[in-house]
Amino acid sequence: MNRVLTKYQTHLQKRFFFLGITLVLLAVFIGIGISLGSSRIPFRKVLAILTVEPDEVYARIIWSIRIPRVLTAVMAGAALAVSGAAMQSILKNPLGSPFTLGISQAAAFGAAFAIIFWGGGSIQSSGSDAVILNNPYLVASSAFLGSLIATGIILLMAYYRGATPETMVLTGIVVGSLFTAATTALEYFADDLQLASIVFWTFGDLGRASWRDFLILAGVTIPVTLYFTWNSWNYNALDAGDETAQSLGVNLNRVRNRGMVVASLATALVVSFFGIIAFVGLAAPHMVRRIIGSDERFLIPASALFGGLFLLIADTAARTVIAPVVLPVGILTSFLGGPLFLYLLIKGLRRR
Amino acid sequence: MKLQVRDLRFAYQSQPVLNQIVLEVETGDFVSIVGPNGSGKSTLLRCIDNILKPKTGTILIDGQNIAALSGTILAQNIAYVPQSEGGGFPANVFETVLMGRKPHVAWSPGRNDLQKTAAVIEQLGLEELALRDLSQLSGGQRQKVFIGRALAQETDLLLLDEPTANLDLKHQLEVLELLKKQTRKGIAVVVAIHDLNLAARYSNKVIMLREGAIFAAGGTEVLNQENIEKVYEVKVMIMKEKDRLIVVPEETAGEQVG
Repeated sequence: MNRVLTKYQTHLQKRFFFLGITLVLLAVFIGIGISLGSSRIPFRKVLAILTVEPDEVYARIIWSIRIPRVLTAVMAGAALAVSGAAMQSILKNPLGSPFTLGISQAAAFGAAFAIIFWGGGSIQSSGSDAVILNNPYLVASSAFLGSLIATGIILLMAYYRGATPETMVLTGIVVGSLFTAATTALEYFADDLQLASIVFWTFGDLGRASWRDFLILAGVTIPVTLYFTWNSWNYNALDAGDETAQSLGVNLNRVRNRGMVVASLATALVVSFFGIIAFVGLAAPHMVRRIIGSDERFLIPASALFGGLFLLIADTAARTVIAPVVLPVGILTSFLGGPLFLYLLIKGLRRR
Repeated sequence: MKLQVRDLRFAYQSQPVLNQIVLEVETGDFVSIVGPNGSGKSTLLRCIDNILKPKTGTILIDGQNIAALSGTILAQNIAYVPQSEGGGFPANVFETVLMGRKPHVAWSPGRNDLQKTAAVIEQLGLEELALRDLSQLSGGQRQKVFIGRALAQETDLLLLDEPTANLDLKHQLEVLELLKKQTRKGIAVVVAIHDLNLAARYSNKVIMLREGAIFAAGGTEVLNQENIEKVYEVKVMIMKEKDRLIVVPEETAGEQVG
């Protein structure tokens, strides 16, 4: 038996171990997430309801509120993180994320546009949930359209100027600033109610999650994760350098363009449904990278799992930290992700 | 293996870089491409690997036009080690060499690929470093790893852009000896190289480029006083020591320097 090979396989086992641990934690936190909330359901009850025993009150809470929300958190986190991981590799830039590329800002503009011009957001007061968008799907569609426009601009630039990391990131910054400016302009002319809706929309809140949202999201996130995992060796080749990748037979522009489209669509979907959830796309892949290294074959699926776990924990915390008030999870991810990311920066990004 | 380059021309925008390049490389050849900075050495290598698409001319490998081959097929025939690239995220030695198996593998390497990778790593004497990140290696070790990746590709033709740049003496020799050993196994090696003494010592064919055109080509005898002075604008002294050609630079040829 070859010694080098044995060493490498032991090395691989650590990564499989990490994947396994994340999976177990995910299962545990899904259980905790279902159990915790403004009305606390004992863990034993949760298990019972999930398996056999129907308990009228709790069953309804669990099946129509908790489970869709918890599963949606996992899916949304996975979509954001896996897209972030792919973008970081494609753009050769550790700052690759929906924000660096202006996609989130464009989605926010789309939402603001729908709220103001298509009346998507005249608001009602209803107890604890202060603001309700009266036509969430219209707002989401418009936000999605906005992020598609941003993606289109980035891809056009890639087509004309080549999909180099510099072009992509600089274009992203420009796109982000333009859409932020446009949103600010809309806000300036909006009335109080519209302004409240716009701001509320940008918070990033999974409270809007329904079973239908979850199914749409899962229908996108799972294939996207599989797509990126399937392509992970191409991304490894990109990590080695453009010329090396080409000499290994990788079609650079095709891999980059397709990867960008897929990643943009996935993040656009999440942002348009739930608003801006910061830091998951940026920080989750970096945390995984620090633990298991940059081999994309592991990084990509592990980022998806870890991102799901991260957002699930953040959302569970958001629902319980100052219960009965439910915080928008976007605030939590920023509070959790910001310091964690700073810590990573201080420890040094593992970059050549 | 036979590589034929016929009447190759290449231009960046409208700036001609390569002109009427004709060359042939055969099994077991060690070809050094020499010439001053900007004479087109790297461009030529990139054209041969179809990374840059030439304006006119054809490049044939075993009679097949490389422009018509898919990236994967080409990568099964030609391996290329570029000058050190600023890569993205770091990989370890094993993964880097394993990457050379990419043209032979659909999406994930199998047992056979892992074994071949391990064999290359042993051949290069890098066993102890197998799980180190490239960023933790010295320049010489890293260059060996990149050559390892090219070897794992199992091609009949290896192209290397200045494989000895930035290496200390020992590593320069180690790298070139390693490449020479490959030629004995029937692999053809083409290097762009600055050090004329090393070129003279290891290669059997030398191509001198000057302003994108072949100024002289042939055996090591083309590395003579007259050619070097014209191509490099430097006066040199050539010595023979135990059958070995030694080029000693004397001074710049003042009257020709603009």
